[in-house]
Amino acid sequence: MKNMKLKLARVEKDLSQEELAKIVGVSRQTIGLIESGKYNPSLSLCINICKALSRTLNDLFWEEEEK
Amino acid sequence: MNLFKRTKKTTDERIENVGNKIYREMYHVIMAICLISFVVKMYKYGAGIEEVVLELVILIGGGVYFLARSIFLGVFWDEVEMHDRTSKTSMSMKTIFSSIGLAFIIAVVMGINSAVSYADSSSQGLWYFTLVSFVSVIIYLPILLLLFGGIYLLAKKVSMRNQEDDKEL
Repeated sequence: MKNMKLKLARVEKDLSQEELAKIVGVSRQTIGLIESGKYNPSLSLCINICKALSRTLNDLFWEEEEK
Repeated sequence: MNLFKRTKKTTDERIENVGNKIYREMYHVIMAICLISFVVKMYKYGAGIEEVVLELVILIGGGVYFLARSIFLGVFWDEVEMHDRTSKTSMSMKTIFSSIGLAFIIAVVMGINSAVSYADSSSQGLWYFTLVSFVSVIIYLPILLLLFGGIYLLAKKVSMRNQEDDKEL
């Protein structure tokens, strides 16, 4: 499932995938794959992304259950 | 000059994960090559052990290393726990059954081998088969039970020790 919350938060911060990747310390493709839902990041990487985008884990990675 | 300044090495976990996946596949490729080499050499040079000793060391050594590491890291016992959660027959029973099964297979193979190679008549062949099979079971069953059971109990002991360490945290 695509992670639109992450993509929106990154765009709001005016960061490209490459810039965010540099801050977090991963490759651009990894950020791209997380946004497209093709890679499940570890908790520590999620936390680093949240810190870089000034968001919480809930904001970026919590999926509301569909009722 | 920042030439000699140590920079913090950053690692991408996805690259590491994919790298580990490739290593796993590479292990299978190496094992397959060794197995093919083993079979080809056996076919070409006969059943001599000298020609295939390197292949055997790689095949058995790799397996033993994997087993030892998985036991001492506790993964072996975790797998047993996961298995027992879903399977009707527990891993301990399967270990006993597989030891008995393997001992009987070895006994039958050795019995057939001695009957075919050394017997002169069919009644003598039957007698040789029964005798050698019986003696083989007597020899191999305790050895295999001790080996498989020992591995099982060692894994359990290591896991219990790890659990004690976890409780202290």
